[in-house]
Amino acid sequence: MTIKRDITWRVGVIYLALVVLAVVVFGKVVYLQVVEGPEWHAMEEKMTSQEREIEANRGNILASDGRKLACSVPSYRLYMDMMAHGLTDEIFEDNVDSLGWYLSNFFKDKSASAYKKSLKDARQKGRRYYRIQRRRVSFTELKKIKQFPIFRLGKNIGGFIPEQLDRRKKPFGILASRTIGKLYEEKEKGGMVGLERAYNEELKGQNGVNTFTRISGRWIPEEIMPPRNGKDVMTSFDIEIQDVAENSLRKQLIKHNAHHGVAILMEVETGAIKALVNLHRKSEGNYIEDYFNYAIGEATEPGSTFKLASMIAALEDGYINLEDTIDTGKGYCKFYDRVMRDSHHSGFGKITYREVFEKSSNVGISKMIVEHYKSDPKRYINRICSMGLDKKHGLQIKGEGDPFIKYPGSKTWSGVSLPWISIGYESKLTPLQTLALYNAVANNGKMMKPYFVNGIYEHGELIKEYEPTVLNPSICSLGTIEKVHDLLVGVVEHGTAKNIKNKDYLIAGKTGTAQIAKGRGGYKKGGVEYQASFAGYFPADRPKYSCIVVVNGPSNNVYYGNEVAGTVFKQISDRVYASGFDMLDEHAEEIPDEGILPYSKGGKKEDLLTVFDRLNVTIEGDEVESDWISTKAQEHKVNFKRKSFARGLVPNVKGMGAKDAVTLLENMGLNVIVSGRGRVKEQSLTAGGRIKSGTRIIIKLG
Amino acid sequence: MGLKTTLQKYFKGDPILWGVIAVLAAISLLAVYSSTGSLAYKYQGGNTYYYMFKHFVFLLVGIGIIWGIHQMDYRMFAKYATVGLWASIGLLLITLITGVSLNSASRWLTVPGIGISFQPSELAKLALIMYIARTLARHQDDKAGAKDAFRPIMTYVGIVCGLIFTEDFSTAFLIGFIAFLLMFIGRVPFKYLASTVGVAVMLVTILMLASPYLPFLHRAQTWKTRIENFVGGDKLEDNSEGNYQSRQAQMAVATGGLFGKGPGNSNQRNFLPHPYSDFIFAIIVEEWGAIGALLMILCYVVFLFRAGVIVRGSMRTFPAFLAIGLSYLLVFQGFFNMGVAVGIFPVTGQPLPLVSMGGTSILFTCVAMGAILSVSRNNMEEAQKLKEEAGIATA
Repeated sequence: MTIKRDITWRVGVIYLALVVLAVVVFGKVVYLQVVEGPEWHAMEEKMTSQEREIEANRGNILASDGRKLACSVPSYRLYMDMMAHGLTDEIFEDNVDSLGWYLSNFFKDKSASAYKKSLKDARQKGRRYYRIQRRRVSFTELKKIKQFPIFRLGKNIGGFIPEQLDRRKKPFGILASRTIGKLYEEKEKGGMVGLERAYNEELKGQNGVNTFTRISGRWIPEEIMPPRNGKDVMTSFDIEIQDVAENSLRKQLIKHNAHHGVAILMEVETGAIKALVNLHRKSEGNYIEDYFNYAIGEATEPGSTFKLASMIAALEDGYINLEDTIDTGKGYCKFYDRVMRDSHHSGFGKITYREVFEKSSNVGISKMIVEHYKSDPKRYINRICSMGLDKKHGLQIKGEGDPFIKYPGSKTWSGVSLPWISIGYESKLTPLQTLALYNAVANNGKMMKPYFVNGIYEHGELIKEYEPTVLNPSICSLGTIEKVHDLLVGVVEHGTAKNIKNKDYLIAGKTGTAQIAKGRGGYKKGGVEYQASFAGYFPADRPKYSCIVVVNGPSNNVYYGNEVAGTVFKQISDRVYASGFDMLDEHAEEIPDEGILPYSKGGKKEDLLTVFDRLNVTIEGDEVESDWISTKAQEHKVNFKRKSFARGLVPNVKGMGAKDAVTLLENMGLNVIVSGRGRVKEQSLTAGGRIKSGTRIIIKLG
Repeated sequence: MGLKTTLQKYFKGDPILWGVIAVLAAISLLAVYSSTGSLAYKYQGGNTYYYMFKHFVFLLVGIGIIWGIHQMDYRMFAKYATVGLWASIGLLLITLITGVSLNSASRWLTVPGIGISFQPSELAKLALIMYIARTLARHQDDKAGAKDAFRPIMTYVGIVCGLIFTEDFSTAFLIGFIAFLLMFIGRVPFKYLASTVGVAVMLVTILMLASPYLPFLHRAQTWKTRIENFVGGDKLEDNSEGNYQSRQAQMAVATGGLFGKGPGNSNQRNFLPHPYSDFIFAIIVEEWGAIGALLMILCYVVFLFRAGVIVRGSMRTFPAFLAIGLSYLLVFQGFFNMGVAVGIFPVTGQPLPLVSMGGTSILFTCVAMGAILSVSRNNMEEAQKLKEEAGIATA
């Protein structure tokens, strides 16, 4: 029985060993589930159902005419999954040659055999995400590439994976780019500055979600939430004006080697910003737009442009008459220990308040204010504040600088505060805040809130409109407005800004030259830097636009506001004036009464009569009895002639307007197809031919 | 006559073994159905019942084979062991030369005319174990153990393993391992066994080192990386195929939890290669949870326990060796498979006996089952006879 016992214990030993193995296996099961469970669960989550965001397209930022200032352009990176499910050796080997050829032919950067080789290498290595080309391709290019051999089999068989990337583009380059703003590198963070940031919510849209679930070996996509594309933001910017403003400001900055400059153009009635330029010197002669939004963000001592506020205060309180005189002496006067000087060194002597303003006499203004408000400086400051100069506008984009108006009794208030505040020191305003004051004067005392965005559009439909907002319905009485308006016109007509005077239209405005402390050291330590500015509006008799130009740190010695900033102002106003149809009407309506009258199209008699009647044009032959008239322009008069069309024959409609031509032809039973714009240039059926009812005639306009 | 007696009348032998077979077959059917979805979409146009039905037919035929064989006399196996061995060696040779390359290793032989492919190594396994059992039984000696059995056994094990290992190292290893266990059970002296281990380790080492220079060892690289993955185990960085499989399997096991995701709810079946064979255990655990794992493990543990009972009940050594050898073959193969799925063994291609899909493999497994039950039936009948004789004697 030894044999049986031997065998039995051995079987027992192995059985025990197996039980140990069983325990180990089960132990590992438990270990995987309990200890490593969470990790594996997380990994599985990633693998089995993939949630992929469907990116919403970011909305566009539009100029006031609808042209795109910023838009998203999709581009694609090209990848290939070499181990795609259906990409068999047979498919790959049969087509790799021609795919290489197509790629080489398309991108023209490598030979067909080089492409073939790298494709084969990638396949050999089993790459699942092989980048076929470094370059990104556009949508139209992608459409072509999708038709290449192998790729045309799709993702599962051909392994072709295009990855969409949206790039934000500004079709007009740096034009207003600071205000338009930009996006963060990380797309999900959205807008970083400017309108891109302020209207991020509207622009970004809402990403959709797709889930892919693995069902029986296939990915089944399911769109859980469709993406909602971003809305379009329509700004008030006018590309043309912006362009002019930017170019003339740049030219001037380069000329004076200035540190930075600002130009803003605002619509008087509404406060809509038509152009806003911020240029910053990067190196000599090289200015960039997207550095800092000085126009709204940088509050500095406004300098002489502030004298307008002082003048309004004194006039409103009835302290002065413009024709009263004041002695400005030899161009300086002393307030306590500090001396106030005029820039005109020998002084103006005894002059009227009108002249004080037009010549921008520091002595005159400060003496006037000190004289009337010394006893109660609060009255003066309250006047300033009641205009709204101490308040932020609450702009649509972030970063508005805080205005600062010193109040009597505050720590820094001193004996010299009043005179210096009166000429634009010891206070801070941003260029836009100063402009708002000038705009209010132009707008009969109504201060408008500056705004950049007209409305929000979705699928081309206006869904939110931004109405002009009144900040202060009346900054002062109309009488005062009229007086200061007069003063502002005077500045250009015979004051400090004579250089921009022109005979086409009137400009009202004020120069400003401020010494501002450089850096943090104050006037003494950091030295001074000049800030030349010009604020005003035009055409002065019927103000349409207000504008401010500020040039900071012009270092080439010329720093007077009229020279440096006024010139830019003029260039902008000239351009706007030249293009502004609605401002030209007083000239246009004059029908020249000499020479040959302008050409007019032939057409329906009654229409033509209305037009010529309105224009007071003498008509010869208006008694002609005919529906259709041809015209002939002569000296002093227009000759009407009957235009007759034979029944049943194709008329000659060349030279007619589209409406008339169509009416005539349709009445004759023809089927008209119109193309182009303007006057009829060609007609497909020759005049004089017989008309068969319902025949088609194509007229080309041009 | 109750149900129990009816069953016992037709299904003779150890009823617990029959029970285990029934449980495994049932689990197998469900697991195969669940794990062939991907395959069904790929090859059968989404007819997900196709593979389950095919598998069901194979299981039925298999159970038929078990039933048929368990009725036979086990002595027949001793008689035909050598013939079977020679035949399988011949087939292995043919396979090696002409073998159809399936599954990237030429292990399959297609029977001309019928078009059925099968692995001759399956046949070789059975034949070799029968031969070993017979040889050990013949050379049992009270004192010296089975010293003389060592040489012939080692010769045939060497031939069979040598023919298999180039294409299918894990099967060769399994055969060698089972042979070794059988020699241990069969009382081959320890010093022989110890030196066998030494020689085997040396041989494998030399082969591994020399593999780059031996053109016929084209699969050496696969073994190497699989073992390196297993030893190195840097889960996230390495994306090689073997590591991927292992990770997917472990993910399936880990995410199953205590009660599993429920039958038919596996996710990993979509990511695992051969989820219906090599990694079916992972799918079962994923769907049935730790409970399912425990049930499977218990099935094999109980199976081996019952095999031990058969050994104890055997009057002679041959049936004992035959039953225990075949049981080892099935049970250890099962544990290798499960061990791979949970990541305690490097990736191998061993199916889970009676559970994995794979027609011919099931049929050979069933032959083994039939043989074991045949021994069991014989033992029980002998015991019955003894009892009756004793009864007569006492009466």
